[in-house]
Order: sequence, then C-alpha cells, then structure tokens
Amino acid sequence: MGALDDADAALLARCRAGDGAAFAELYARHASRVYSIAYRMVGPNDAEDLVQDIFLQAHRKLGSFRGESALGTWLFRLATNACVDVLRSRQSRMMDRMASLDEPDSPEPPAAPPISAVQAIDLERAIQTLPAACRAAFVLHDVEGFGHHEVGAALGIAEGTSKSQVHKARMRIRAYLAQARPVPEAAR
Amino acid sequence: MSACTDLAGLLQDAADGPLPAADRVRLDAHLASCAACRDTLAASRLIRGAAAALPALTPPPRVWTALERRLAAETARDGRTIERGQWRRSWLAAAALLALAVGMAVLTLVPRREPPPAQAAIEPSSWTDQVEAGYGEAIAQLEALRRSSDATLDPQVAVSLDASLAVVDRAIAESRSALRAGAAGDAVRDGLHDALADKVSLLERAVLLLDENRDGDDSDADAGAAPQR
Repeated sequence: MGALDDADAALLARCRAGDGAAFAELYARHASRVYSIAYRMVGPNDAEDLVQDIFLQAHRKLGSFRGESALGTWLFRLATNACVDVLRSRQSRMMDRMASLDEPDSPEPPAAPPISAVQAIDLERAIQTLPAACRAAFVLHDVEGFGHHEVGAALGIAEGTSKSQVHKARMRIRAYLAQARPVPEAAR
Repeated sequence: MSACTDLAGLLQDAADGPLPAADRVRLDAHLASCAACRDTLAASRLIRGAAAALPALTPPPRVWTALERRLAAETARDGRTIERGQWRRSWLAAAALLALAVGMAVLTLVPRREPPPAQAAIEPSSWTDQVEAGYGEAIAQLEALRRSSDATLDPQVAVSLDASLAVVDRAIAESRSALRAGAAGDAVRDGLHDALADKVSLLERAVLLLDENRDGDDSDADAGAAPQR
C-alpha cells in the first residue's frame, strides 16, 4: 500500500471532523484484518479487547496521522505494535528472559512424519500453540506476507533471527499437524 | 547429519522462494539423497502456502458495541457532544457489514486483503434477518463440531454448559417472540443480537474444552503406549 489515496483522505477528514459514521466505516473496512492479527498473535482471549484498544488508539491519533501511508497500513502498524507489546508484557510477567522477543525460546522439535493437506482450522489451532517469539514471526511472515527485514523491524530482531523463528514455527506446526491428522501409512 | 546442518539456512530460504543458481545446485544435490530434508522442505512450503491462504477473521459484533460505548465515553470526557445515538445509527451500518460474514465457517470469512463489500444502509428488520442467519450458521457449525468430537466434558462442566445454553435459548426465543409481535426499538434487537453472540461464545468454549480434553487423552494414551520402534 502506498500513501493516502483520495478515498482514504476523504474518510480521514470526516473522521477528524467527528463524523461517527465515518469512524464506523473505518472500523468496518479494517476490523477484520486488525482482528485477524490480534487473534493469531495474542490469542482469542485477549483479541477482542485488544481490537478495541487499537481502534481507540487510532481514534486518538487521527489528528496526528500525516497520511504518509494508506490508512489500512497505518492501522496495521498500530495493531502489530499493540500485539508485540502484549506479547512482551506477558513474557515480562512470566520472568522470561525473552523480553526482547529476540532469543530462541526452545530447540527445534524432532522431525515429524510427513503431512499432506493442511486444513485451516488445524492451522489456526496450531498457531495458538506456538511460543510467543516464533508465533509473532510466523504470523507476520507466513500469514501476513511480510519479508524478514520487515518482520525484524516490527519485532526488534535481526533478519536472521526472523528466518530461524519462522522455520521453528513451521516445524512445530508440522509436528502438531502430524499428531492432529496423521497420514495413513499406505498414503505416504 | 552435518550436511543437513550446513544447508539448513539454504533449506529455509528455499521454502521462502527461489534460490540463486549456485545455491540451488548445492541444495538439489543434497536433497537427492536426503529424504528428511526433502520432507522438511515440502512441509515448510505446504505450511507457508496454507498460512498465506488463511482468510481474515471477523470480530464478533460485540467488539464494535463495546468500542462504541468507549468512544462515546471518551468523546464526552473530551467535552465533545457527539451523541451516542449518532454512533448507534453508524453502528447499524457497520454491524450489517460484519454480520453478513459472521455466520460463515467459524473461522472463515472475508478473504484477506480484499475490502469488505460496499453496503448501503440496511433497514433494521432485514438487518435482524441477516444477523440471525449469520449467527444461525455459526451456531450450527459449532454444534456439529461439538457432536462430532470424540472427547467428553467433565460432567459438572457439561451440566453447567447446558444450563447456560438453556438460559440463552430462552432469551433468544423471547426476543424473537417480541419481534414477531411487532416490538420495535434497538433494545429488542440488541437483546437478540447479544443472546445469539452469547450462544456462539458458549459453544466456542465448549469446542475448545473438548479439544483440550481430547489432546490430554491423546498424550495420556501416548505415555502408556508400548514403544513402536
């Protein structure tokens, strides 16, 4: 997404003028994407409250947004930062040494049997089982499509760390899926 | 094993996209004789593709309801006099956009990276029908998941869940009766909406509990099983 286009500019102007319908329209356009990243990064228990917090923050910051990116990109950045803050806060409360989301949290799981097709609901469940660091990297890279450089910038980690965290996430997911829906021996 | 370790970085890069020619040759030479790395690469690509195809999730309508309240409170604190009614009318349009998708698969809704469909303002009666239809689909799918699960709930939890569902079902029936009798106003529609959302939430928790119980049973079974190899 590039800078603010005419439609975004008009919507932003209406929101800044206090038009409730305009903000409702902003929400309707972007809530799904914001909720998706919140759900997958922080989990279902906290996602709904976090979505509210993110849009409240957006409402407060409308006046200072300069339009250097599309509205959706700006909202997504707010959402990503909010999710990372939640993950860091959880780790701090757990007295985990990974407060920077930078260190490897655990070794790669052992090789699992082959998997065939991946069903969406199984993948969603598998994502919820991932530890914070590799979950964040996996969601941003594999689900949302960001490059490792962008993931690194968002999470405050090196590009190489992003690569290894995404790989670990994939291997954990592979192990989960192999257990959830084992491929029959005859089909391998 | 050292070749696998040496080429681990290339393997990870290959899962993300095409490699430079020289790296591709090195990796292909290794993959020709290493089934484990071939499986790893195949699994990585499969998972990456599936992740990229995951649809966007839609927040339940109660998220906007709660946000609307917080926004109204905040604007009032700021000294602005935007009436809650203004948010409410706006919410009907926003809720209609979201409610159209809420009843599809439990997790599968608007495709990612596509804007939601443009929608004109919807009359309250047709909005209620659409909300009901959406929730109805979600409830049917969750009930099917619950019935098909091979796990069981703790008896006390099951009793409590069924009692809660009975209360919610009564609330749904009462709201529907009121609407059929011609009762108008946001309160009745909101009541139906909230009750339907509560039922979806209860069923979602039941399915998640069944998942946890099933996974717990599986790991207990594994712990007791004789070694396979």
